[in-house]
Amino acid sequence: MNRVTARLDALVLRLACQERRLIGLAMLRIVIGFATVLYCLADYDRRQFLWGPTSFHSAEVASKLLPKWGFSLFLVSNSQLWFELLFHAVIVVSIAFMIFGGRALTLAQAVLMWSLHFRNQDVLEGGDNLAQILILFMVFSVSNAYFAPGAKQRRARMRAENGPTVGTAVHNLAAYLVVFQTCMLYLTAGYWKITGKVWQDGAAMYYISRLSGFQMSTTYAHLMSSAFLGTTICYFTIFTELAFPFAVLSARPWVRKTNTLAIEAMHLGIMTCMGLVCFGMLMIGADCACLRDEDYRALYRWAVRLKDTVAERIRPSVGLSRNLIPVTEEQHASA
Amino acid sequence: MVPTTAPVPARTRALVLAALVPVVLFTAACVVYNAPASPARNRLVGPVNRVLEPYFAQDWQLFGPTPGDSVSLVYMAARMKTPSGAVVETPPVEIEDAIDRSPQDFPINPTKLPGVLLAFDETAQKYTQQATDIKKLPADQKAAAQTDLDKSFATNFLEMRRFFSAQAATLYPHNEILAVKATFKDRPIVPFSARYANPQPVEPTDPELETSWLDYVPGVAQ
Repeated sequence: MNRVTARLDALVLRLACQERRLIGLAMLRIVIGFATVLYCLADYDRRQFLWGPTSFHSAEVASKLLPKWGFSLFLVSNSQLWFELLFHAVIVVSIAFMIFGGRALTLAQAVLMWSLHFRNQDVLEGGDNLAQILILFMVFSVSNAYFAPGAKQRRARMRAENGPTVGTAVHNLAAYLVVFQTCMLYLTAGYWKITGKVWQDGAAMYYISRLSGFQMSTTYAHLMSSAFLGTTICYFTIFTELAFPFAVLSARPWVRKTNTLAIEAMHLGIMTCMGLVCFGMLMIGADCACLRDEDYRALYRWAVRLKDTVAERIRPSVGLSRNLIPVTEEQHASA
Repeated sequence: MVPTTAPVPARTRALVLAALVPVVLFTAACVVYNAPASPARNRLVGPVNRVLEPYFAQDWQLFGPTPGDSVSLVYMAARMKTPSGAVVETPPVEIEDAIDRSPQDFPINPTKLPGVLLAFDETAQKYTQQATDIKKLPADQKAAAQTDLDKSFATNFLEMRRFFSAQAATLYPHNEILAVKATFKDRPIVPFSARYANPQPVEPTDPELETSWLDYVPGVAQ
């Protein structure tokens, strides 16, 4: 019995003594807030058409398409004033959530974001599905211990707490769920890709680049006609997605960092070449939550070292040119 | 901060373990939910759906699809009354291509408008598939099945009716529009193996679904 209790205690201590992934969750918070603002602003002029009371997607249609237990505050009233208030509240709360974080704002952000998404599900991109789930987990986490006003004091308070606390455990479990859900997404996406014939053939990128809705430039479509480039990108995508959950679990920091940076590069490509800006941003945010705090500290140290090295290489030549004293022609001749 | 060697208070232990239970349940449910179809998954998926839907519903097949091998096109025609009182029909105008290219107008934060037609294309595809299946049924079951099908897609067609009404009002602003009709077509993408062929093969455009004349809905935002 004592051995069981000791094991349970070890588990509890592991969960409840120190908040983990604080930097990644803070970055996810910023990204979700920013992406929601972008989402609203992308079609700000068309807001009546997409979400308003006289939208083609009428309140009646939206209500019928709501899942069981689904809700949207936009469907509470069909008045123009309510719509404008709520739509602008989404923008304001997203900005506040991005800057300040905190549980109350996370909950408000979750309610408003879900409401906007359920008002018109036709204009969602897939990344929104992940954001809807992750924000629910974030309600239970500390997402403002970094990159928020008062973050330093908040961290000091957290450090001062002695012994295991339930709050810390709840945060860590929420952080685990964020990471688990993201890993599940990549594992599933990688699995579906690797079983698809066009992905095996390396032709998937060619077909994707030919879809008019996801073609931001003809150069991209032209490049994807290359068998070598197309196959390389297909295989790179499958490999990084399937490797993601294993890399996150890896004890070797370089594996975690390399895989995460690779997958973020992929999403940058999706943002620029396919025009899925909010989607790519949300995915990058989720990837950020999968790196540990020590990974970020190591990356920061590396960036500082790199900056110093570059500065040192530039400084001697700059210093020399500043110290040069102009020599007159007479001085030069006498020398 | 630092793990202590002192025994964990019983209340903390109980609360942390209680918090762990839903997390473990979610993990298990999520694995089953996302697993590929199998006899084992099929037995578990009922209760799992009840746990995860709607708030944790997820479909990551979107991230790893077999990409489409055709480009969807939507042709819209309008029936209008001229000032002389005559009723005329406009020739079908392709509207999807322009909407699909609208994100290029502002690539930094592109519009989500193409998603609407993507959803309509999907609806048209599903409806056509199910209507084709109905044609294979015995003659005495066809009418009832078709009625059920139309009923289940009524919401989607109402949405299309409103969308195409707004489009028609934009295209023909000074006319009295009576009805709109949409035709969904597919144009296959030049196959990968023929991408460098010269001249490029001309792919036929296949009609997928043609709606009936849908009554014009006035007052939809444009």
